[in-house]
Amino acid sequence: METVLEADRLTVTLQTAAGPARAVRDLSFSLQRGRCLGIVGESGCGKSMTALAIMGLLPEGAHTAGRVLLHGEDLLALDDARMCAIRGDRIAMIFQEPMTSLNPLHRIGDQVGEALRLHKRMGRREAWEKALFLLERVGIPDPHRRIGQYPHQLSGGQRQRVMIAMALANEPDVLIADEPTTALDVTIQRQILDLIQDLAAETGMGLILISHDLGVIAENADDVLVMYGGMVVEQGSSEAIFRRFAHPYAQGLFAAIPKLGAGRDTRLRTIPGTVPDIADLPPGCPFQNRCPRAEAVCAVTVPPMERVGEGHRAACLFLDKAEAGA
Amino acid sequence: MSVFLFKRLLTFLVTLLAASMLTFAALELLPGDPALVILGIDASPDAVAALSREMGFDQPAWLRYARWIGGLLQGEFADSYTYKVPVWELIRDRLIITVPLAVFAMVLTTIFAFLLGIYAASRHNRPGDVLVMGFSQLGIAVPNFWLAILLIVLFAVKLGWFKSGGFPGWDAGFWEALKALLLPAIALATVQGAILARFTRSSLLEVMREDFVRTARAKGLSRRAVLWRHVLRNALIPVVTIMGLQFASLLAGTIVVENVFAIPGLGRLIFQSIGNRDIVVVRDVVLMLAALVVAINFLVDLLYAVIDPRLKAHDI
Repeated sequence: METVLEADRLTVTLQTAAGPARAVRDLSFSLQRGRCLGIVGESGCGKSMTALAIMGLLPEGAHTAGRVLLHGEDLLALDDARMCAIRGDRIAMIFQEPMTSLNPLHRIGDQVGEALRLHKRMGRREAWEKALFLLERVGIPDPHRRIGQYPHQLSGGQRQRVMIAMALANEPDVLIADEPTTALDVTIQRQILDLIQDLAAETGMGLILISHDLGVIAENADDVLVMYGGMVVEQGSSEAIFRRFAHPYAQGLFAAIPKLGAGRDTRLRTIPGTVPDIADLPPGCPFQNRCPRAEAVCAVTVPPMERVGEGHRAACLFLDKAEAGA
Repeated sequence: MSVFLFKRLLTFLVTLLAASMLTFAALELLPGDPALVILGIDASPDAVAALSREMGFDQPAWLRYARWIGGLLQGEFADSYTYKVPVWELIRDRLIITVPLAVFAMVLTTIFAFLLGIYAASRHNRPGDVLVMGFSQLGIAVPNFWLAILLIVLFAVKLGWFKSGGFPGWDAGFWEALKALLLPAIALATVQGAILARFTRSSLLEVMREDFVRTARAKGLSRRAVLWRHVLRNALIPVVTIMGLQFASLLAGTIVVENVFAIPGLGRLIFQSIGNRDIVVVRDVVLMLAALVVAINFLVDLLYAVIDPRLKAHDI
């Protein structure tokens, strides 16, 4: 299978008021054509920073190390002018908030057509017609009318469809969808995810789906990265991971999903404690403070990724320990 | 007529009514008898009383107010006590100087502010930004009459490029007249431009943090292209509000600068009329300025709708 995007020990350091913070540590993955890579974790675990690092859109003062290869070309080594030629053309991104991610003062057609005019050098009219085609393709009802409207005249779901049309305009090799359905009604979520999946399958692009929702990841991803405190703690094919979670954090995340038919007397399982502040991470394992398996050694040793099974690895010193709570 | 326009018209009338009452009341309370001022302090009390009666000051205030407003509604203006001509003629002769001066100063203000504000925002926290903001702080701190004097000393006295003051009139030719207004316009625009530049910068910086700016960058637009195509128009709404206020204050607030440059504008007319207790002039000028300010606010509201499609739908 053709690898379109590869991250090799990607590290992102942010400048915060509390000093430098490593938002992403030694993250590696590879994404194949037509596959979906799911990245899952709580907010602040480094999912979105990973996406922004790939896009070259990190906040000012951020530093990166490692490599991000698009068809073998290291994106982290490119200057902004060359990244501009890649963004919106070879790699595109869909954001979490469809309500604020569109410019309120520009018409839908102009916003969808902008990337076409920029990268494909299309004229205004040609871009407008292609935008109309794209709006039809993402299932916007009455696209002839919608194309001339402004974002405030569209519903949240329709705006996210517009975002998808915008991202797909130039048929990118990689599409990053960062929590694409989090801000939407539950009834719309499924439609949007199906749409993204269908379009990805149709065009053969690689898809990175970022979510805090294990259910969304389980249904859509071929491969999964579980992130915690800026690190990948478990990684593997969706099949292998969801058959048996190996890392105590992933187990806790799974156990925390409310189950239908569990009875009203069953208390919802939670992971004790809170997500650590990335500016103030303890040495050793980032999950030590909340981990049921933790021992003294966890406070000093960063656990390496160890093989759990076929195409399935996890970063824990006590993978063999009885699976607490699972 | 749409609801929006009807509301606007109503606001306009109510504002004018309130302004006329306030002006009238303030002038009633102002110490100093116009008759005494006209006749001089050596005049006999009988003569002052007689003139006072002739000018109608023995009549009750409400009647004099009603006469004033009634006259205005029929397009009749009283004669100025000091100039002995209808007030409208005095105002007209000054409006053709003050309005162009205010427009000129506003154009310069806008050019200064946009150039500096956009430059500073695009170099946020870098030396260029710090330098521009430092200078704008200086621009705000300098009193405009002092700047006016400095400009006269440099460009009129030392270099001899301009006259030190006065206005040749529009009959002397457009460029000649404009040249006479240039230094006063610069003196006015420096302060206003510095204020507006800071507003423009902070408004731009605020919009730059919006999600749709990130979306535009994700499309592959460069920082510069994003600034011009996506940020600027969104940042204009608060800037236009300030511009409206500034233009209004330029129309009414050029008194000091007009005095320094000896320009016979509206500001000088009010200033002198207050000194002369020429209250018929003062009240008409103040009322007209109030009308102008309300009209400018109305124009600003219309501009909002041009900039932002979200306002079009229900308001106009």
